[in-house]
Amino acid sequence: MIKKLNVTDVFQNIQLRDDYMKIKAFILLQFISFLTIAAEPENVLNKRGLSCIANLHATILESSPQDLKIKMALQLSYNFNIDGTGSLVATGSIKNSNTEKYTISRIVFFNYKYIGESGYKITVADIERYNLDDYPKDDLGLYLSLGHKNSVIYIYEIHFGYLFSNAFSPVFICYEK
Amino acid sequence: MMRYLIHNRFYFDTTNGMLWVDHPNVEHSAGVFSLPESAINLLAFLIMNKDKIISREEILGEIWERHDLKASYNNLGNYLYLIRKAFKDLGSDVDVIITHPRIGLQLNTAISVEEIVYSDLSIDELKYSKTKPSRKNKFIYASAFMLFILFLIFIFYYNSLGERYINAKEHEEINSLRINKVKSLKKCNIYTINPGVNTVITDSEILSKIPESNIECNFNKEILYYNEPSLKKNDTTEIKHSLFVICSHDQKTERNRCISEYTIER
Repeated sequence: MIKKLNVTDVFQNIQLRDDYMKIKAFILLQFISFLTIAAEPENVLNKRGLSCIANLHATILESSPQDLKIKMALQLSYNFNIDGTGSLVATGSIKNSNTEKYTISRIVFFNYKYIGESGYKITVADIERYNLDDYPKDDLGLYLSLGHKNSVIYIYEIHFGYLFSNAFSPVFICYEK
Repeated sequence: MMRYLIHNRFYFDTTNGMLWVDHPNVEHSAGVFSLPESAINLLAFLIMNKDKIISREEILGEIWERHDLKASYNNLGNYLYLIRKAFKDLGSDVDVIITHPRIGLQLNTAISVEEIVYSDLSIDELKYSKTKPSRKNKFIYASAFMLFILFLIFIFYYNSLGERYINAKEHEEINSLRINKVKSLKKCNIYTINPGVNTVITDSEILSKIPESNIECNFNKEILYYNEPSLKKNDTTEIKHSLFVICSHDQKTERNRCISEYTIER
């Protein structure tokens, strides 16, 4: 016996199957977009890079083994590329308690790697000094526990700039160029 | 015009002899054949007499002689082959037409045949008209849309799309750091950073560090203050850190400019 079908039912069944497929694809697309965009939200550097400037006046006071007082007045210009490379242009002066004063004018080339929780491991690749730079050492970052060999910098994006911190404390605010 | 759904997969239209798979919209069909007129008549005749075995003589009379066409067993054999091949090429896994030796032909009783009844709309109108969604469908559409909106809101809030400006001026908590707004002095907003959950710096302490006369608060400024002793990990040497930052907002460039004063005592 030939069974009769209403053609609108036929269309609706096919349309319903298509609709379910579209909805499933739509939801899957949203989920993938969410994972892509929301993943690692704290990794601001690898996501879009960063170019910023910090004006830092730092005072380091050590009472042992001997009294030492170091004052730094530096302008730090950071460039973080999304590929994990970066550079720091440091200009200014450094003065120690022996009244020795040095001029700083150098570029530090480094690589960085995100290690989680806003932390980036810095590996210094090269340091270039300009003629004016007469500070003999490469350990500028060491005084700040920041940016020296294989150190970790924490970079937090706050509403008026980027807060750079070492493992112990915040050190300066870097504002976008 | 008659249209049939054969074996739940194959559509057969007797007006134009189209035979296709799965979707009534021919443009999207997985495959389509156009049968010649005699093949159309033969298949339609077998469908109409689905429950009977029809002799070759009856078929020749009905399909050819009645239409003043030359009847021959060869012709019948050729068109049978054509129909069987069309179904096979469209992916049929069964013989649609069964030959009963010395008796006749019959449409395979194991396959279903359903006649599609047309509504008042023409086939083209049905193709392009939108059927009203059922209540279940509406619910699914609404849920998917709400989910999409929630995703957008979440992503926008989480990543601050656009200028990426985190407008958390009263309180920000990022990992273990908490940034609290202590006070506003004229156009200066003063914040503290508390590294530990239980550490609190009082208003009076912060205000004693920022004599109002030394800072011009007639223009927008953000002032950040941090003063926290901490112990080094490997020994008991106490180290004091303090940070004092003044950021002023340049109206022309709409950018901040900050000066950070950092002191470490060990």
